[in-house]
Amino acid sequence: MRTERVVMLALLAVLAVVPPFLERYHQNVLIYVVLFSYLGVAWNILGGLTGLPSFGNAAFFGIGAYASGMLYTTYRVSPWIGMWAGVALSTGLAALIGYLTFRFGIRGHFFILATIAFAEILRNVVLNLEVLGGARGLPIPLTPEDSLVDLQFHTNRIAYYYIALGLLIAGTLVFWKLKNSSLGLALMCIKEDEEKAATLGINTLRHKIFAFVLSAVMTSIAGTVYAHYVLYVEPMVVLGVPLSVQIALVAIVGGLGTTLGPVLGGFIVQTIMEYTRIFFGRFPGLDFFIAGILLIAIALLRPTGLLGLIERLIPLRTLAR
Amino acid sequence: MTVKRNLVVAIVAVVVVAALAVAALTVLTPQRPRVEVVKIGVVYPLTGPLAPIGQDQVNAIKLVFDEVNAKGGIKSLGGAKLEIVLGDTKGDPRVGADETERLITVEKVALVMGAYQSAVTETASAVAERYGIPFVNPDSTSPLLTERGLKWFFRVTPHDGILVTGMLEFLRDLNEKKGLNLRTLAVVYENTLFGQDTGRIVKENAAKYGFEVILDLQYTARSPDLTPEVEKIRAANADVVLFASYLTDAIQFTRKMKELNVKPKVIIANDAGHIHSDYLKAVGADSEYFFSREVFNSDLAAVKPAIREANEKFKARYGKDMDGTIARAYTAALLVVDVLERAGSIDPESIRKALRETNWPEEKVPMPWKGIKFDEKGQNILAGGLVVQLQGGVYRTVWPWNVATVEVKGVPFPGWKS
Amino acid sequence: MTDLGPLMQALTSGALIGAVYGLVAVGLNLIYGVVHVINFAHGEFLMLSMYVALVMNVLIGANPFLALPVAVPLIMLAGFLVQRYIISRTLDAPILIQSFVTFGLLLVMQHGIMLTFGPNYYSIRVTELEGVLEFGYVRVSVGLLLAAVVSVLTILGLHLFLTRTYLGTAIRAIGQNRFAAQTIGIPVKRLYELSFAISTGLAAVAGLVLTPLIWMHPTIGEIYILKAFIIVVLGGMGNVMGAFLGGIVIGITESVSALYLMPSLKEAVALIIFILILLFRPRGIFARAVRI
Repeated sequence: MRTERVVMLALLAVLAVVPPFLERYHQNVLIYVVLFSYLGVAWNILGGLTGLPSFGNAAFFGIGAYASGMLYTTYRVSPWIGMWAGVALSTGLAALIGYLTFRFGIRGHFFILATIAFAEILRNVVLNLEVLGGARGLPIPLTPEDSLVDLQFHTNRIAYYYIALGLLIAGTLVFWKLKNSSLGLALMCIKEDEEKAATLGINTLRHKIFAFVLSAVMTSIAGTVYAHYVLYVEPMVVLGVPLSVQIALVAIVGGLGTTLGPVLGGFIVQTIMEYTRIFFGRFPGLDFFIAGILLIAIALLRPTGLLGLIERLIPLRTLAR
Repeated sequence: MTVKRNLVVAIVAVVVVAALAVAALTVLTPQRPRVEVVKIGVVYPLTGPLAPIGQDQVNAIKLVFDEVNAKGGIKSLGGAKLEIVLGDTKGDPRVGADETERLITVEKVALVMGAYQSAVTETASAVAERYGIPFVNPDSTSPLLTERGLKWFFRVTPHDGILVTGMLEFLRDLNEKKGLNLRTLAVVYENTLFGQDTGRIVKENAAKYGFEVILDLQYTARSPDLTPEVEKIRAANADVVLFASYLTDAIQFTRKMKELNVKPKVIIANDAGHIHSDYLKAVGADSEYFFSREVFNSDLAAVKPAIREANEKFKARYGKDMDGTIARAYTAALLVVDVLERAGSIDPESIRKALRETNWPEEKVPMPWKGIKFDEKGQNILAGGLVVQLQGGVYRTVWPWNVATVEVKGVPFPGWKS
Repeated sequence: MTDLGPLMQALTSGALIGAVYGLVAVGLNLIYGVVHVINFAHGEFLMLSMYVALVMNVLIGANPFLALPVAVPLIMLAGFLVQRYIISRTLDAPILIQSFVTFGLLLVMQHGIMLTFGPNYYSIRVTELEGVLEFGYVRVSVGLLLAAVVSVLTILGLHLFLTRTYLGTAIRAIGQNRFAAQTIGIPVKRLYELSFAISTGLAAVAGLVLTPLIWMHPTIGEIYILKAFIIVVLGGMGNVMGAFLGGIVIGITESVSALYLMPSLKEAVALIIFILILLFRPRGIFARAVRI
């Protein structure tokens, strides 16, 4: 137990202290790594804990990005407030999709297909909406100086990193608390055997919708942060299938259903993919090629994910699992 | 258990110490000393599908700078040499912005040129604006780029608003000259920035030139099967069909139109896919008599000395003729040299002042423009477009009438050959 | 006459291309019905056969139809190997794991081809197939007609194989109850491998007949697999005839909706139909038609 705690704290210390000293583009990679780890944790709530893998989370990411982006571009509403608009919309959409799919008993392969379909419909619709910029997307107007209110930092870009890190820590704590609560237990029951869970008196429909909404809300917040970091909301990027795939990948490769699995997955998979793009950009497609191989390898050899691999070295009892 | 645990603690301790050591070293390493050379940042897609185009631009700029350096550099800066610092945008707005930032903050360039795609130029120039560094754009045509109220953005090329209305102007002139009665228009465009801009401009301006848009067709780019779309064009039976498509769609449209025997009186394209050499290779003689908007054409060398000179230099070094994008990069590079000479300093404000004061006469510009002069939005208002037509498998300039090298043929469109 | 003309054209073109969509969906369905795995990488085998045709075209100037005898066996071999060495390991694992494996396969194949051939768009032009047949207002290219005919014949062949031959019946038996089939002495593993090979072979045929009609790019597989999913759900999972009819329906829907709506929305229309079917009739519209 103590070993685990020591390792955890040490890693946290490194994550908190080292980044300001890195070069710009390493910091950039780190921000994406942390953000994707967070997205993986959010995905895991529905995918790992409840057993419903979604390949359409990009829809909520996009909603978060567009909602705060639009409010900021048109009314100069602070992203910290715009974020909640995104959250509200995501809650609505997730509840709707959740109700529709779960009420009609869609699960397994069909759930995957349905989530892909919903995300694609959203993307198609947004592409055709002039008011959201259509295919052009939304460029976010720049502030002359760093501003916390506007969530824009130009000279102190590292602030974005700390915000993302904060999200990751908060998200991980939320996941951990959930997993160790009776709510989490109910979700895991549903994953194991939904019919039996229902006979135990668990309202499976409500629980599944809750998991979906929580996952969507967390994803949406990341979308807002991303929009104000990159300062451009592009429909192909924020609502596209590749994004959904990357999010799911991070959690699956890291460790389905575990607390720290997605974090590990994010740090390994995302780092590999980002640096592949930077150093081997000359070979388009190499990043996803490697990701595909990782996915097959993990699925065949160690379905418990990379965390499962680590477990053989250090017994992880409390936090990570 | 105890051994294992101690081992783990030891490893962790080493890792933490190592990380802190690296951080300390990075902070304590001294900066690199500055060199007395004018660094010009150049951001283009150097990898990925657009790499050949990006590379062409870089080559054009290099040609100009190398010649200037050989002749003694920038005289008003004491013979300082021009150095290109490259940034690979990979065709992505995010990467383009990051690269621009790197060029400005790390490489300390005096000025940035780029970036071909309008979406990438948008983010990259926003970065330059933030740092107060001039951004010279040779080739992005989205009209919105100069509607952002930016102070450091200067666009050399005419934008789609000018170019597309130019097409409408040509059609009206064609009506007058040939005594035709072309009235109805079908505008077919892909659902990307380029396509949507074209569609919007045509719809907003058609009436001014005497046309009515009877079919507004936005289609999904790179659909494998465009038969339904072409069937819609066929059913509309407009006099003129105007396309805004990239390569694969352009090929598909031409093939399907032949297959379904769709014969509008005039077929005109907004550059892009229909101009590409791979398009011509794929469709062959089927595209004979098609018109296209262009910014440049190699046969102009016959009518304008500045163009002939530029083309000869480029051909001598790189073994091929200039196209519109290359010629604009070349022109922008010449502009940058001129601006630096007039500024006499690499201070950003001086460079910006020199840019605003630019006033090139027609003869000096290796493009079919009336000159170079920027308005308060940073747009070169003396720039304009051309219309070219495929005759004998080669694009010939047909409009404006005063720079035309041949007469317009094949109007109304005679039909598809078997 | 002209008023009905565009509609007739849309119906004809839509039905013909729908036959090819049906072929793709049938292959997907075969695997789901027999091995009970959703092969997300099905479209990639289609894409692969197109690139084989490209290579043969560049090397010896062969047109895609001539490439059939080479490409189809090659792709079938690839399918066989995938089933034997990769999919077979996941047969007793949870569905999630199976999905992830085929998804990983999609990524590997698609981006593997992108690494090898680059992200460029290639097209092969077969002038013999560009002749056009006229039926009044309606015009149909020879290439499209041939594609539809080949697709229909292939599906018919498959149907006969599954219903009239011993092997085919054995395959259907495995699909219905794997353990019972094993007890009778049917070599389940071998037949899984055969089924997968047949499925990818079907995808390969579809890819080859499509080659002269469209362009090729590593992402082309995605486009067709999405359509295939919609069709499979429409026609009923595990139902061959249903998949074929579903293909025709989707082909016509695309064509007609593009005619009367803004074409850039035609994908959204198909997806919405997909979701509606998923919600209300997951057994598919044609559930009462012949099961494999």
